[in-house]
Amino acid sequence: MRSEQTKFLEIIGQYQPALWRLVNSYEANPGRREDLFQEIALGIWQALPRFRGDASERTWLYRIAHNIAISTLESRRRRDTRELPMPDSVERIGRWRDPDQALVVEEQRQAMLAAIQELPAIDKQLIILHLEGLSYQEIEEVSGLTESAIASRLSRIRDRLTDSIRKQEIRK
Amino acid sequence: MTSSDELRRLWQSDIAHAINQRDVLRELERRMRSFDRTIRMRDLRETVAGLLVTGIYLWMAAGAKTTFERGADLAVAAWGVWVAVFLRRYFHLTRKPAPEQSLSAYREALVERYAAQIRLAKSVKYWFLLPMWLALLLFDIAYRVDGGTNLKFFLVLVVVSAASGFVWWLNEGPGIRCLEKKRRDLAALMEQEGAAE
Repeated sequence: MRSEQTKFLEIIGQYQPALWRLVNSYEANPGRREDLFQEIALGIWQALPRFRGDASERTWLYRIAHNIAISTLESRRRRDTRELPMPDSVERIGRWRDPDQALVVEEQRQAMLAAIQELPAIDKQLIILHLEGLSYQEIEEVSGLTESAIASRLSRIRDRLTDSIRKQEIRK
Repeated sequence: MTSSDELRRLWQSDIAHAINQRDVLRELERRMRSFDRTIRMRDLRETVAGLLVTGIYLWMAAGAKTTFERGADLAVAAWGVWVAVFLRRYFHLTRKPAPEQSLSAYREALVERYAAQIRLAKSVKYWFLLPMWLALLLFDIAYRVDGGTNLKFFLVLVVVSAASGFVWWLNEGPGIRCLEKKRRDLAALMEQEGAAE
């Protein structure tokens, strides 16, 4: 129990930034992100005793995180009406030294995030895993799709994201 | 901004919202406790209900005047135990599938979970209503054999049958319709997202 707790904290510590980015891309409402993060943490904690190392820790963790994010949002969607997302950019911009550059990057990031949030679940999963730096083989392990299907989907999704960012730049 | 690397750099420029690991653990413990409490309460409710029915009818069986009446009391008591055991045995069908599978397998498991619940709900008439109705019918016959009036015998028969019929209708009608709608919605969503190529 003690070693499981240590292992759990280690995993959360190591993957927290990636998990938080994943949460951001699934949950548009910043007020609910921590709740989703906790749901994922609970899922990891409950699955930890079953982890036998058949898959890598990273692919195991991403499977859990994506599946829980999808099912949590799916049941929430049935329970209540969609709330309007609240912007959380102001707090982020404050962290940068050069506010102008920060604004540009933040706007691009928000455009990309908005485009990712609009994607169907499977495409969302693929692009997040890709952006987190997983290889095609690892993405195959997480998603269950073949490498060729992953490659063709990713190419289309990347075009879509690039297009969204360009449109946002033109609007400026 | 076109290449994969640029997109990746932009994606990872999102500095993680700082979450204290101890807070994660504390919240986790709170959720686990609440989850355990819910499961314990559910188990307790089922066990108490089963034991109550069983206890009452065992007590009635002990004081029964005829063998027929005692048999009827024992049948109702056995039904109480049977339902509690059956629910305990099959309640796992309502649990969410393990999340450490691929997305497509997980979604299929979620849909299958609804399908299993529908099958369980459709079989309620066999494992819950029929044994209960038969046990109560036996009880009613015992009353008639023991010299009860025809009027009361038929009245009890009608009331028990109507109540069982109502539960049957509730379960097969609105109950199953609601589960089927959830399953259809999830399956449609899965299909739509799977076909998003």
